[in-house]
Amino acid sequence: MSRFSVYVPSSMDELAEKIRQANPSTKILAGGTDLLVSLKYGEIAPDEIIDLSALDCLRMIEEDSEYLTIGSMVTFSELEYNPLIRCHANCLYEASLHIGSTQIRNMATIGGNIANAAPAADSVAALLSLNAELLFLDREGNKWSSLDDFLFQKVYSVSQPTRVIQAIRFRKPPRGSRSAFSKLGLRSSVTISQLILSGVTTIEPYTRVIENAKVVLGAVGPRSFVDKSTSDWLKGQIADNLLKTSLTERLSHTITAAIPNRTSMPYKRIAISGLVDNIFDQLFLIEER
Amino acid sequence: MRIQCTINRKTQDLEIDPSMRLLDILRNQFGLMGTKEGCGVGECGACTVIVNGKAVNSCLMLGSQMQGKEIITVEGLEISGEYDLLQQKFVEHGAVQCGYCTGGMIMSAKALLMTNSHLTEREIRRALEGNLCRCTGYSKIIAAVKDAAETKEKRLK
Repeated sequence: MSRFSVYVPSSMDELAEKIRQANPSTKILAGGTDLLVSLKYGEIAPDEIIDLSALDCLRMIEEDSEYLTIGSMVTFSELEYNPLIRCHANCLYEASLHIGSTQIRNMATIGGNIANAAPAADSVAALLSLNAELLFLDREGNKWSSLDDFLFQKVYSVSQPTRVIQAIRFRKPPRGSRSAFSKLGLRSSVTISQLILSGVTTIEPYTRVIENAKVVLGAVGPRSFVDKSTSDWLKGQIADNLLKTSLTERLSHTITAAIPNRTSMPYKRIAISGLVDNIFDQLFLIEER
Repeated sequence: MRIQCTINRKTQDLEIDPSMRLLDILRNQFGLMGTKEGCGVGECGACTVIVNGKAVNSCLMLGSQMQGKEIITVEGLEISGEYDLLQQKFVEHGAVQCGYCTGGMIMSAKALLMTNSHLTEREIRRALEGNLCRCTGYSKIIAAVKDAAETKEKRLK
C-alpha cells in the first residue's frame, strides 16, 4: 500500500474546513471496506485521507413527522437492528441483511456504499425505491440532492469537488405502504449481486388499488435505476395474483432494453422472475403496516 | 500519529504509521501473530478481531480508526493461563486442522457468543459466513461453537 497522511476531524466544522483545503487526490474514509481494498490493489494512491470515524454526529438514525434520516456513518449492522428501519424501510432492512459478511456489515457504512456507487450496490437500489436524498458537505456548505442525480453524475463522471455525504433521508412511506428487496448472487450469502429488485408500493386497503409504486432494478447496467414504465403501469392496477405474470414480463423487457448487448442479458431477463417470486407477496398481497 | 486504545484489556498509548492497517499494527508492532492475513481484502476472515464487541476484518481497518476502541485478538481470549471456552471446544471437537483460519473463526464465534448463548445452527453459520476454511468442511467448527453456546447457557442457569 502507498503511504499517506490521515486527518481525523473531531467536529463538523473541522471537516468543513478540511474539505475546503482538500486537493483532488484526497479520499474520504468511512467504514473502509471499499477504500482499503482499492488501496491494497493500488487502484488509488492518495496523499491524504480524511477519516470520519470520530464524528459521532454522523451515526444517528432519527425520525420526524415526515422524514427518516440516517447519518452517513451508520453501519449495515446498525441498520439491520434498528426498529425505525424495520418499520419504515423494510427494503433497506432486507438489503442490509445481505450485504457482505458479519464483519463487513459491522464496518461498512451506508454513506460509503452510496459514495462508492458500485453498479451492484445493494443499499442504493433500496434507497432509490424510497426516493432518498443525500445531504452533501462540500466547499460551499451543505446541500440536499437526490440520490438519482448523484448516481447520474457518478456514471457520467461529472466532475465534483471533494465532498462528503453527511446524511441520507427519505419520506416515511404512508400507511398502507410496504417495501421489499431481493437479490440474486452466485452464492446464497456473502455475494456480489448479479441482479437486484427493490420496490415500494402503497395500496388502498379496501379496493386493493395500487395508489403508488416504485420499482428499482440494480446490477443491470452501470447504476441502479427506477423502472419508470413499470412503476407507472402498476399505479391504478388491482393488487392481486394476476399481476405477477405481467409484472415479470415488463421487468424482463426493461432488462432487455437496458443491456441489449451484454452477455448477461439473456440470463438476467429470465432470472428476474425469481426475484419477482421472492417479493411479490410482500409488495402486493401481505399487509405490512 | 498518536492513538489511544485498549488491546487485550491493556490500555495503549502509541505512535503509529497512519497508513498501516490494524492487522499490520497488531502483528508488527505488538507481535500478536494469531491474527493472520489470508486475502487482505475482507473475504476470508482470517484477520478477524473484535472491536468494541463486534467482529471486524482487521485488514480493512486503518490504524487511525483504532482511536478509543477496545480491541481483542485471539491471544486475548486466554485468561490467567486458561483457554476460553470456545478454544477448549475447538480442541475437543477436532475443529482445527492447519489452523490458519482458526484464529479468525474463533473471534467471529466469540463475538457471537458475547451477545447470544441460545443459538441455532443457522445463526452460527450466518455469524461465520465471513470466515473461510479449506480444511475442515466446517461441520466440526459448527459443532464446537454450538457446544460452547450450550455449555455457556447451562453455566448461566
